[in-house]
This record gives sequence, C-alpha cells and structure tokens, in this order.
Amino acid sequence: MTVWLRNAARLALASLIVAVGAATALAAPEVGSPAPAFVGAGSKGEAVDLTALKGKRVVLEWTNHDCPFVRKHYSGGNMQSLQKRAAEAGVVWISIISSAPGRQGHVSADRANELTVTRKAAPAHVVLDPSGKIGRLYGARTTPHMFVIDEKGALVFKGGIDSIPSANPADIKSATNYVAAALDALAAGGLPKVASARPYGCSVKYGS
Amino acid sequence: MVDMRVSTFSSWRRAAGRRFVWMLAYVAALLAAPLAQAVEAPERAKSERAEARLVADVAAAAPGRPFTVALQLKLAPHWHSYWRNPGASGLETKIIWDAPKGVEIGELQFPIPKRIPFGELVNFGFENEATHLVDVTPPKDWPVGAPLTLKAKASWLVCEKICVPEAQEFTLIVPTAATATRDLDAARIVARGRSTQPAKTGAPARFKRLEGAQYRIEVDSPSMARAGLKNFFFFPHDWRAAEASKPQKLERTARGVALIIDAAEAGFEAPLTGVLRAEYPSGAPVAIEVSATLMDGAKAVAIDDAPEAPAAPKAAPKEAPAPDMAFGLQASVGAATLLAFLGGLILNIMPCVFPVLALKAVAIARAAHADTTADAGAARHGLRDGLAYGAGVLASFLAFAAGLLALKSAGVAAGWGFQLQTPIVVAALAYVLVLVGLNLAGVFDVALGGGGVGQKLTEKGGVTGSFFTGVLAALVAAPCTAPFMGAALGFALTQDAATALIVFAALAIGFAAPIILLAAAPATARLIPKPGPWMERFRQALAFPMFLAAAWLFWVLGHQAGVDTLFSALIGAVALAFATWALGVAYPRSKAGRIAAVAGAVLALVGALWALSPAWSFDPSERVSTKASGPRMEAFSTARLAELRGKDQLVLLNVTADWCISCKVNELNVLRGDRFRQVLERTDAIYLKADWTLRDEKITKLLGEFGRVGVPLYVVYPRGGGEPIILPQILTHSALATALGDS
Repeated sequence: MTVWLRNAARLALASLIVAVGAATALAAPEVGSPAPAFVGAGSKGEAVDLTALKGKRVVLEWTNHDCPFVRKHYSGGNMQSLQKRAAEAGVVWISIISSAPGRQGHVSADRANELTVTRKAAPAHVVLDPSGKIGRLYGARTTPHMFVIDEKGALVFKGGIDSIPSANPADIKSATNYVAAALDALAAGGLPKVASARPYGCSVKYGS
Repeated sequence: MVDMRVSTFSSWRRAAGRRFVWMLAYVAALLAAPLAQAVEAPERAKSERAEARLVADVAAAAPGRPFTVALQLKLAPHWHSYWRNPGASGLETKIIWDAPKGVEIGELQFPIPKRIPFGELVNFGFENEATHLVDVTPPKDWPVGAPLTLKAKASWLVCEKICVPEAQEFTLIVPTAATATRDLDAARIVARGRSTQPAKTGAPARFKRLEGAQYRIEVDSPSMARAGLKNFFFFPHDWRAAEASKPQKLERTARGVALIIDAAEAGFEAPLTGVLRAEYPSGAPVAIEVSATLMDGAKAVAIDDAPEAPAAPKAAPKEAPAPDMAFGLQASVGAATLLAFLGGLILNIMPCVFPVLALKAVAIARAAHADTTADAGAARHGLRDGLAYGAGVLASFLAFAAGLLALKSAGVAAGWGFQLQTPIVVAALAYVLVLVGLNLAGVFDVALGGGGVGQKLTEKGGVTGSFFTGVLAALVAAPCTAPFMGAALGFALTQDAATALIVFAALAIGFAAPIILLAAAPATARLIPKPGPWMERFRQALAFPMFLAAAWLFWVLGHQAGVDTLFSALIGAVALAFATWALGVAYPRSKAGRIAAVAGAVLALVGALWALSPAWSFDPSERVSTKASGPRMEAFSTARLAELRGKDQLVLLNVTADWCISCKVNELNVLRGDRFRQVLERTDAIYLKADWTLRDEKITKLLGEFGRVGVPLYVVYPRGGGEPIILPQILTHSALATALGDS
C-alpha cells in the first residue's frame, strides 16, 4: 500500500514535470546537458523515475514492435544482446513506447510484458508513454531512437542505434553500434566518440 | 628509360590497332544495330504501396558513352518515399549496384523533395511518383556487341501511417553497339525524371551561423527571387542542418533570397549543400541546388579589411561579398557585361585572332583607299561588310552560349574552359590554327561557296564573306577566351539564360567593335598605308602568331594526353600541311599531275584525321598528371582535403588547368620557388593542387562550392575549421602571405 502510494505520488510529480516539458514540444535535449527528468509508468506497474537512477548509467530506447526498423534489431537478437550486456554491466535499460492509442505499436502493459518474454528481451523497464509526453520531452522522432545517460545524469549520446541506416538485418554486422560504443566509452571512463548520430527508422506514432 | 619508351610506343601502337578493329566493328555494328534492339523487358516490382521499375534510356549503349538509368517509383495515394535526407524519420531510397569492372556508375539523383508532415514530425520525400536517375558510363574498351549486365539492388521505404521497407533486385541487360541508340519510352521517363530535379544553376550562396543552432543562408538567384513564389524551404543534404518540422523565415536580399533556419544540430559543416525550393501560386515547385560557403568574419583578404561589425542578426545584413571577379571587380551583371566588352576588345590582339582581324582591316583599308582612287562602289559596302562581320561574330558567340546553356540545363556540369578539357577538341583547334596559318603563309587559298570566306581568306568583299570572316574569327578566338575571360563568362553561366546571353553578346560586340569602327569610318581606315606589295608580306608574317597559338594548343594537348598523343597530332599537322601544299601552291597543271596531287592530298588528309585517333580515344584515367610534389605539396583529392581539415591543418588550395594562362602566370610567379616554400614552412601549411586540365566532376563540384565555374581559384582553409578565404585571381606574394598568416 505504501509502495502504491509512493508510486502514485511519483507519477503525479512526473506528470507535472512532463507537462512543463511538453510546452517545448520536440525540443531535443543537447548532448552534454542534463537528461530531462521524467517519471514513467512501467509495464509492471512500477514507476520509473529517472532522477532516482542517478549514479547509474541509463539507456533509453524508443520502440514500436511493429516497426520494420525495430524488427531489424530484434529479429536477429541484436537489441536483446545489447540489453543483456547492459544489464550485466549494471546499466539500466528503459524501453519506451510512445505510440498513441490506435496507432501502430501502441500496447497494453500485459502485451508489453508478453513481447518482452516472447522476444527474449531484457530491458530493466518498459515505459508506456501513450500521451507521447516523454517522447516529446526527448525529441524522440524515430523507432528506434536511442539515448545514453551517464551516472551524473548527463546525456552523452543520442541518435540512431548504428552507423548504417537501413531496414536490412544483414547490415547490422558491418555497422558500428553507437550505443555499445557509448557504453564501452563510459565504462572506460571516457565519453562516446560519436555523441550524436542520425536517428533512422519509422516515425514515432504520436497522437495528435 | 629506353624500355619504358619502347613500351609506351608499342602501347600507342596497340591502341591504334584497337582503333582499327574498333572501326571495323563500328561498320559491322551499324549494319547489325537494328537487330540488337531487342532489349530484355525492364523488370518491375509491384506491391499495393508502390510500383517500381528500372529502365535505361538506351536500346543500345556505346562504349565510353554515358547513358542514364531511371528508377521510377509510383506510389499509392497517401504513401510516400524519402529524399536523401529523409527529415525527422524515414530512410532514403538507395541502389546498390553490381556492374562489370570499369563501368562507371554515378550517384543516385533525387527529384525535388517536398515536406510531408506526419503529426508534428515532418519528413522530406515524395508522393505519387519519384523518378531517380543514375548516369552510367560503360568502359571505353567494352567489346561492342557484348551486352552490359547491371544488377541493381534497390531499396526504398514507403510510409503512410506505418512504414514498410521494400526492396527489389533488378537486372538490366543493355545491348551494346558502336553507336548508342535511344529507347524512346525509357528516354521519356528519364526526361520526366530530369524535369523533376532541382536546377543546377551554380547560384552563389553563403551562410552565417547565428545564435544556438540557428543560421542564415543567402542564395543569389534571380530566378528564385521572382515575385509570387511562396513556401520557401531549404532542404539540406546533411540531416543536422535543418529541423524538418520548423518553418524557415524568408528575407529578400538585393540578389536573391535568404532564410533563417533552425538546425537540428549545430555540428554540420561548410560547404552546406542542399536544395532550395519554393512554389508558384499554383503550387508547382521550383527548386535549385545550393552549395553555400561559410561566411563569418572577413572574406576577401586583398580587397576589404574594414573592421567587422559585431554580428547583429536583426540589422539589415551587410551586403555579402560576391565571389571576386578577375581584377577584383565585384560580380554583377553590369560589371560582367563591361568586363566582357573589354575582354572582347582585348581578344583582338590575341595571337590566335589578330592575324584574321589584321587581314580584315587591310581589306577594309583597301576598300577605303579605293574610294579615293577608282572603285567608289567598294567603300559604300564598307559599313555593310563591317556589320555583316559583326553579325557573324555575334551569331557565333550566341550560338556558343546557347550550346553551353543547353548543356547546363541537360545537367552537364560544364564550366567555361570546358572546351579545352577534351584532348580531341584541343587537337582539332590546333589543326584549325595550323590551317589558318598555312593560308596566311600563302600555301593555299580557300574559296568557299557563294563568295564564302573568300579568295585569300578575307580579301573578297561580300556580305556572306564578311559574315563568315566573323564566324572564323570567333572560332579561332574560342581557345583564347577561356584563359582570359574565364571569370566574366563563368559568372554569366551561373545566371539565368537572359543574363548569360547579354554577357556573351557584350563579349561579341567588344570583339567586333574595332572592325566595325574601321569599316564605318573610312577616314580611320585610310590611316592604314595604301595597298601594295607590302600587304602580301604582311599577310605572310601574320602566319607566325597563328603558328605560335597552335604551338600553345599542342603543348596543352601534350600535357593532357601525353607525348605519344602529341606526337601523333604533330604528324597529323604535317600531313595537313602537305595536303594544303599539294592542293595549293604545288597544284600541277597537267591532268595526271592533278590526279596525283588530289590523291596525295586525300591520303594525307585521311592520315591527318587518323592521327587524331589517340586524342579521340584518350582515356583520362591513363593520364600521367603533372602532380605537385615535394614537401608540403600534394595533389588534391576530396578525401585528402577533408582529412587535412579534420587534422586542423592550414591548407592552401590551388585549382588550376594547363590551358589557363593566368593560372600558369601565378604558378610561375608566386606558387613556386624558395620564397613560396618558406612561407609554407613558416606557417605549417599544406599546398594542394587540383588540376582541372581535363574534365573532373569532383573539381567542378569543388569550384561550384565557391560559386565558380572556371579557374583559377585560390583558397586558404584556416586552422580551427574557420570559413575558407578566397584569394584574388591575380596572386601576389604579399596577399598569399597575409592569407596564410605569415608575418
């Protein structure tokens, strides 16, 4: 009961923050500046509070399971292995679904959990963002669209997941994975060499 | 050394042998061409979202001759495909080619993009139809008759509310023949594709970074500044250079338009390339390609060192310095017209033109003197002849300009001076000069039909004769215009057709002015001494400047295509001389003698043409270029320039050509020797030399980035990624040292 209350309080706070953020719709945060704070509704009923994750590295992944570009990275296990590597290294991986109700990729919490199981995915959280508030706060425009946040809460990478914009899974092996590179750089005590990359994929299916 | 010479000579002989086989094949192919028309049906791919097909605009391609392939996407209603920068999301259409070795495949060309909103996100792409073009050039040594198999893995993303990536592998089998034949249906698709592309006007453009990720881009384009155009939008190739969803603020400038743009990210670099699009009130798009240089801080070192006012985005923008013209004049239609007129005047004393004009002047003088002596009728025709001559000059220059504009609108990146970038043209012009020289020397006389160019070239009167003298003068002037008139004519070509024609007309009028003046005022003509035997000697003496000009062209040819090609062309020139001699002063009176002379001359003429074959079949990739070498001196490549800039290296770039006299003068006076080397060492600069002697798309593009279509161009790329500094076309040690920061 107290957990539920705390979560509800956090959600209320988050809504406020997000409401302020939404005023600057799609103003993407700059690399090097603090990652915008949010509290999202996790698919397992948990509240996901970015501020509370300070001290940990965080990856945000915008996703839409029906988008061919998302499928490109899930069908061969590329995204899953990245998630597992992140988990092993203590990185908090948050998949975010900003599809509006009735639009492609919009799912219920149960369906989101089911997708995690069937796809053998390993995110720490799946956040449901049907209003698109968190998406707009980060200027997320494609699925996938990736963001990497360091322990201090600063955004250190944003953009496309790798160096070859295509829908063809065969391109994955010859591409440079920017998220993996960013996590490696952080683990080595440095900053990602590529801090921003062209996001590619389907557009995020925001509601109007 | 000896071995090398033997091997190059035998390779030349092999080339000549190939040529013979090729000619046989040509005849065979001419006969067989109608049979080779059966092209394999172009493949199509169809889904409920898009229908794709790939076609080549030739029924048969010829070795070494470019043709165009079109990827046509017909899109179902509400579905769209994407431009090369897809905007907020999406993915550009791509083709991955699998072609036989040696086949040159150009970049995928995109139609004019359009903004396609999806909620608050905006994409750049195409609705209904998108026709993409690719230029393909089969190798010169491709066996005639062997079909060319091109495999194209095309992929495109189509989106409506959801996105579907589609891909299709096409196989295009293109028959080959000695001469290309067009496939009319496919050519129509290609033409349609071309008509949907942004125009390549080379309009000067520049941009200035403002606060944050904002910047202001100015494009000097009268065609885009027309009243009534609306919905201006700049589509950058680099995704970072525009936030697709943000509107761009339009300002009108003295020379065109400017836009204030929110970049998605500040990291994009100069030159900023993309497409500027606007719409007519009907909604029909109009667009041009843009390549904008960065313009913060001081621009032209030599001209303007006024202190820069602190940037005030709100204030009326300072008139941006236009690319400097020759002699440091500002580019404007008026200045270019004046320059062209003066240039035309100066052309009269060029070694390749002066002899022709001198003769014309003498002929007019003779007529003027005749007025005071016997034949009064001759003088009355003076003015008429002068005007006819002027008309000949004007017609030739305008035809030249029109041809160039047509080439340009067909998408060929032709800069001024391009006529000297092709060895065969250089060789042919050298032949023309040799012929005119031989005529002047009295080896032979020409009599063209209808009074024609006239007995002894120009002496005969007659409107037609004068007209053709004008044409001839313009023709022999062609090689001389490039080195001296490059800037004014280059500027003209970047403008709309009317301006270009005005500038060319000014050149023609300046060129014709002295003769018209002479003809119109017999009094001036009478200043020339009375006719007499001296005229014959004078005429013969005029042959020498002509041969001098020919020698220069042969030198250019040698630089372009090597000593073997030069040698062959020189042998051809000798054969040409023999033919004119046999038909001219040596022409026998006896019938048998005549037959022998004609036969000999025909053989020699065929030989002279044959001797051009190495120049004709010359493959630019075989060129042994005269690279700049030595410490700190390197040949230009796009990659090397990018690498040096990435390393924060100070770079001096010289874009030059062997046929460009002012380039050579600068190189002799400034860009060599100890003094130059010391400046490079002191400032730790790297000198890159880009050689435009032969056609080179990369260098043409590089010139375009600076709003140029001709050489010379000198640029200093400062350390720290600052905006490049363009140096004046007449280079001095001190201007160079200042630009490089050498005190």
